[in-house]
Formats: sequence, C-alpha cells, structure tokens
Amino acid sequence: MPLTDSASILSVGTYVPAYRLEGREVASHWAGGGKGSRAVSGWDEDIVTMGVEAATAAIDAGSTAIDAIDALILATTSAPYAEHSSAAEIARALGLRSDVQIVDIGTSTAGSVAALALARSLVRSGDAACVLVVGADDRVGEPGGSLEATVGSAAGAAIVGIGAGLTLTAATASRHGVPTRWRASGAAWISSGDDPRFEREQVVGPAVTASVAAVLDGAELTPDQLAFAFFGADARGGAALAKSLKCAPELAVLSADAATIGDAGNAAPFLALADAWGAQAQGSRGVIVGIAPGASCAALLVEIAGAATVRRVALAPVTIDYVEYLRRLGVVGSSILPDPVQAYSTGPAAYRDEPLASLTGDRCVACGSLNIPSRVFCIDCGAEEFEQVRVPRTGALVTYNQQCAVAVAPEPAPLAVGVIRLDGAQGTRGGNLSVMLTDSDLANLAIGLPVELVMRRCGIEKGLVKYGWKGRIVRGESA
Amino acid sequence: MSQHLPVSIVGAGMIHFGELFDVGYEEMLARAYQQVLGGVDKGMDPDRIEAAWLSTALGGLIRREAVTGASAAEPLGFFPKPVTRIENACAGGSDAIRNAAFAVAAGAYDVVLVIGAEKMRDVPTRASLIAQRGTMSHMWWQPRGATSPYLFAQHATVHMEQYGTTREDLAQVAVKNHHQGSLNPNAFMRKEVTVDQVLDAPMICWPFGVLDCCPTTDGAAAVILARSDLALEFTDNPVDLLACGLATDTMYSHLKPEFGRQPGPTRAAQDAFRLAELTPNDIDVAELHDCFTMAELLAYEDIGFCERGDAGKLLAAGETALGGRIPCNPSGGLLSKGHPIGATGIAQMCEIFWQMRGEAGARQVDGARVGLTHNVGGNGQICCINIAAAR
Repeated sequence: MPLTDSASILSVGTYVPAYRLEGREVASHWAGGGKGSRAVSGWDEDIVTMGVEAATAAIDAGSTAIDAIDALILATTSAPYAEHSSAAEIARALGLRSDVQIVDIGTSTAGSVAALALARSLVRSGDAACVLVVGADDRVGEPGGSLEATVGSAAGAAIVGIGAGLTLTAATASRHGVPTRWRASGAAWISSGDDPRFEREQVVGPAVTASVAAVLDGAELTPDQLAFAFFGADARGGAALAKSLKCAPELAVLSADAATIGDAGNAAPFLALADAWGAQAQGSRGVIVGIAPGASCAALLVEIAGAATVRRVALAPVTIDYVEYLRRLGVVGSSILPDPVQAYSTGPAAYRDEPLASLTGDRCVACGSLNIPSRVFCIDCGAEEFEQVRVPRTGALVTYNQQCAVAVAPEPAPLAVGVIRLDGAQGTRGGNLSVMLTDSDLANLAIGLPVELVMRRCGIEKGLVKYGWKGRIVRGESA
Repeated sequence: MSQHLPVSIVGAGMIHFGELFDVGYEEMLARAYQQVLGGVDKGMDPDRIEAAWLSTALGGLIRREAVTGASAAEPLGFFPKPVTRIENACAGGSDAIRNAAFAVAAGAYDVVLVIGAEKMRDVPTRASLIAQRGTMSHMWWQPRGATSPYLFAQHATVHMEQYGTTREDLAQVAVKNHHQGSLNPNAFMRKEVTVDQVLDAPMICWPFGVLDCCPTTDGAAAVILARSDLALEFTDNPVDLLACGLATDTMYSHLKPEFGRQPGPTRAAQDAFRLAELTPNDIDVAELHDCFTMAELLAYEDIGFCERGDAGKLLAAGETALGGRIPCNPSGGLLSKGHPIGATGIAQMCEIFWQMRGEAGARQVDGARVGLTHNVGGNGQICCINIAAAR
C-alpha cells in the first residue's frame, strides 16, 4: 500500500449503558454534596460487551465492511482480565478476519487518544488501510471518595482509514509525573489523592497545556484557530484551560456528557468526537486530549472534512439506588447458587463454538433455512449443503416469559427469556434464536416486539468469562 | 389380527411420594419392589422375574455418580439377572414400560419388572428441578436464565395470546388435581387449594406461580409385566397393555416452528391409538403429565380430547374432573402426587392398573375400562403414551 498523508476517522460509534447513579444519592450516604449522575454498567456488561456495542455502532454508521478491517486497537483501564486479550474477544464477537492485527492498550486513560494516533500512523505508513479503534472503561471510584460519583462507564469506537471524515492532522503525547489517581493491580476501585484543585492546577493543567501547544506547533496553528476542544471530563478544568491557552472566546469546550455519564476514561474522547462532528462546521478544527492524570497526555488535532457519520447507542436511563450499585460491585450481596452450567468453557467446547460466538450460522443452499447452530442435515429440508452467513442481529419476539426464580448469577431475578424470529431469515424451524432479554422493561413485554441481539456476559467459570448473545427490546435509540 | 401387544400388567406398587429425607435411593427402589411383589394377587416368586428395566433421569446430575442397571440389581438382590437403565428425561418411566413390553412381545422373557426411582430432595429445591434447564439449546447463552418451568411457560404465553387462555384457567388445573390428590394416600401434597391461593402464590416463571408447578419429589414405583397368555397364573384381573407410542420433537426451543402445541405428544398419541385400534373418545381415564398447569391443558389438545384452544372450556365444564366424561389425573397428577422423574411414568401406570381393577377407592372412576398415560420429557421433546385396558 502506498504511503499517504491523509488518515481520517470515517465513522464514530458510542455506547452508554442504561443505568445511572445520581451524585446526590451517593452524597446522602456520605458527607458532602453531590451533583449530576454517572453511568453504571449492567449486571452482564463489561468493557468487552460495551466495546462490541460501540464498535458495532461505528461499523453500522459508516460503510465499512467487516472484512475490510485490518487492525483492532483497544484502550481500557478496566479489562476483565489481567492476562488474556479483551481486544481478541471483541474481534471474535464482531467476526473480524482471522488475520486482523490485535493490540491491547491498558492502564492509562490517555490510551484511546494514543490508540487513534497509532491508527493514524498505521494508515499513513500503509501498514493498514482500515483500523478499528475502541476505547471503553467501566470505572469504579473508591466508596466515599471524591471519584465515586464522578467517574463513569461507556464505550466509544472509530473507524480510521482513507477517505472523507474527520481528518487526523497531527498527534502528540507528553509525559508528566506525580500520580494523582491510581488503581493497584487487583484492586476493585480507583484511589486518588482526594485533592481535586491540586490535580487540576498543578498536574493536569500543565500537562494538557504542553501537549496542546506541541500539537498546534506541529501544524503551525495557534489556539485561537480552534473551533472546539476536549480538555478532559473536568468541566471546570476545561474552561480554565481554554482561558489560559488564549483560545477564541467562542471555542466549544466539549464535555463528553460528564455531568450525566461521568468521566468515562478511554470512552470520553469518542463521546466528545461524536458531539463535535455533528455540531461543528465543515473545515473547523479542534483538539481532543486524552488524560492520564499525573502520567501522560495525548493530544490529537482533527479537522472536519466530511458529513457526520456517527451512531450513538444511548439507552433510556434507569436510575438505581446506592445499595443496588454496591450489589453490582459485589460489595454487598446474598449468597448465590453456583452457575449450574459448568465445565463448558473447556478448550474443545469453546473451540467448536467459534462460529456461534461471532453469530455465524448456516444457510441451507437448497431451501434457504437459517440453521443456528450449524448442522449436518438442514433442520427444515434435510439437505446437507450450507453456506456460512452472518446471523441477522434484529428480530421479533415469538414467545417470552419472566423467570422469577433463577439459578444463574449474577443476573438477578426477575429476568426474561424468549424466542425471537430473526428479521429476513428463512425457514420454518430455522431462522429463530432463544435468548435471555437484558436491559428490557419486563412489565411491558409482548409477542411481536422488536429485539436486537447484544453481546453480553453469560456467566463466569474459573475466572473465565463466557460471552454470549442476549436480546434487548429495541427502544430509545437515536442515530 | 389385532395389533395389541401380547403383554399384561399383573402387579403394581409404589411408595408414598414426598420429601423422603430418611429414605435413600436404594431403599426407595427396594420398598417399591416390596410393594409390587405384594401387589400381585396370587403372589409372585421373585425367581419368576427374568429381567428388569430401571428408569432414573437425574442420576448423573444430582447424585453425581453413574446410574446403571446394577444400581437396581444390588438393592433388590436381583443380580446377576439383566437390568437395563432407561433415561429419557421425564418420559423415562413410560419408555421403560415400553421397552420391557417389547422384550416380552419379542419372546425374550415371560415376566419382567419395570421400576423407576428419583432422589431429588438430597439437594435444596432451588438446586434441584429449578436449576435443571431441560434442554433448550446452547449450554449457557441460549437462553441463559431459563429453567424447567420455562419449557411449558413459553407455550402458555402463546396459548394465552392465541386462545385467550387465562391464569384462572391454569389455576383450575391445580385446584382439580390437588382435590383429586387429596383422595390418594400415596400423594405428596394431599391438600386442597383454591383458585385465589394458586393466583396469589409466589411467582416462579410467569404465568406460573409455585402452585402451577409440581413439587420436587422423592419416590419410586414399579409394575410387573407378563406374557398375556400367562397373566392369569398371577391374577384373575390382569390389565392388558394394548399399545405404546413414543415420539420425539426438536430439543431446542428456537427450532420449534410454533408454540402453544406440542407435535411430539400428538404423534405419540396417534401411534398409540392406531395400534390400540381406539380413538380419544374410547379413553375412560387418563393420567397426564401435568408438571405445570399448562401442560395438562396442552395434553387435552395434543391428544385430541378437545379441539385446539378449547382446553380451558373442557376443564371449566368439569369434563376432566372426577365424575366428568374423561377424568384426568385422578391420582392427583404430578401437581399433587409429585414428580420423582424416573418413577413418574410408572406411577401413572400404577394408577391406571388400580383404576382398571376398581381399586382406586375414593378417587375411582366408575366403570373405567380403558386408560391412558401421557408422559412428556423436556419441552415436548420426547413423549410416551401407553394405553391399557381391563380384560
């Protein structure tokens, strides 16, 4: 592939989980006043499942074919594993090519901007024509600490390649010491120095200033030429930085919805990009900064050079109380029965499951019936010749029930299960799928409701997460 | 020439079903064996029994050990005679009768034992049936969270939508069967219930509350089969096993073309009626697989006791209660008598044996001459229907 100067973000997808913990709810259990809310992931979500949602949104938003993706770079601080690639799990669920390059970037909330910079380099060098970048975080602040109600959970993704979009014109990173936030290996939550003003004024502020100055110098631009900027999820810090950098007064300081979602770490830059792309004029420029407080900053200069290609998956918010939040963290809880479905995640069984994991099914060449999982003899006509196809990811409810006594964990009762008829699928016995329904309004289920398939956690065994597919009633989603 | 099986039932016996915390699996088998030997009118020398079939469904899942024919041979002192273990989910008991009958019909044996037992209450009820999924599909995600009640609840949802069946209709099944079970000394739950109690009971899997579900039960039951031409050696009142029908359907919920009906039981019934040269109208009494209230309503329609969608009306008219046109589950059924899985189909046949001989006491169906057992495994995946008649 030839060298090119031009690498662009071709599409952006974001995902915010449904659940919200309000600051005042947290404050009612601890001293102090609380504002806004933070997004909380569901019982069966983690950065892998949220990453799949965001990546699917980015792919659906644009015209990128799954098989065109050459590399996947994931940045997260909250991977479910200390050893085992979360990026590989995302690639499997998306059904990416088996020769896709997989990169996992961890331990830094500046990672996703660094990943976008790396994707730009890969495309410019010709080593990859199309790179999927995912930033996802599922963040937990120390109970009672200053971060508890202000960090959040979300995921974002972008397709980086050659074409019209958000041109990535420069990238840089800078390094600074004095850590102000950290999470020790194996620890459940982020600790901090609990000194926000020191962090803002002495640690983050100078680092962002240095990295923005460097990226603008490289492009021979000045701060007043910027139309928009994301200086991190701290709104107060962002406003102060815009002033001290001498940006134009009309500069749009992006917040990545931190007031309602919280600081979503590696997801935040994508939320900011999604906001800017639709709102800002063609030809306008902005900087997006990724911040790892006290460790590093990564800054990226983007220029809007194409119509917005953005898809946001934002579920209708459901407010949970503090006890429910602590239950989700596992801080409080009752004893639960062990998952009855055991001894499954052995190598051979999981190996045979590869096509199912990426929602691949067999279409009968003779009668068209969609057989899931793969079969030797067609479930409808008995023929033996099949072609592999991607299973449709939407359908309609055929039957359902609410399970009020369940033997799985940690998903709590009541939960719903059902059979769905997949859109456009053929077959009398083929063309259906059985699923647990997640993130759905159990009081208003009905035969015929539209359902989309979402990748979720389906239990854990010896620390190994069993990822599978569940259904979600389609509602409150905007493009 | 008649296609009837040349096989008769000459004895039946079961133990009182329940939560048998003081009786182990092997002892349940031995106690049922004592009951069936004692239930042969003219006596049965154990040496006359040449082979046995053992039905147990959950040996591996609950006992965490292998169950084989030897698991019955040892407590019964039956060794070294042959014992075959049958596992065909909840239909295993009836299928064990079917296989044993075929061996007699084939001329391999003259007299055989069919015995079934299940030890379900060595674990909490939550870890027992509720935790068993039956088979719906993929091991953990399709559909994760579903339990055994879902197997029939998914049909109920559609039946309610298609035919206007209500939770009250379902509750009437529990009311009827608990009343009938209160008349059966071998039943687990001998307590009447009201519609309001059923509707107000804790929800298990909508639309099933706990009283819409059969209890987790320990139990064992046995019958002795003999060549029809030898039956009078053992009793003056043998019950002839006319025909057996066994059918399968897909295991996975999502491979079913429709809900609200079960094609496996329909096919099993058609085969059994054809071989018995009878129709649903000829049945005087039926023991149906009412593991959940909906299952009995499905059975009315799948077997052909009424038209599609009319099960609720048939029940409301009292046609399937004691004194009705076709009394169903005079024993109390699985809902009241209990459902020790491997024993269930055999206990159903015990009831038909007693009904045919006029020995069912307060729950006797007057003048019953032809009886049917309907024994369903999983989500209608497997169904065995046996038809027997007074001689």
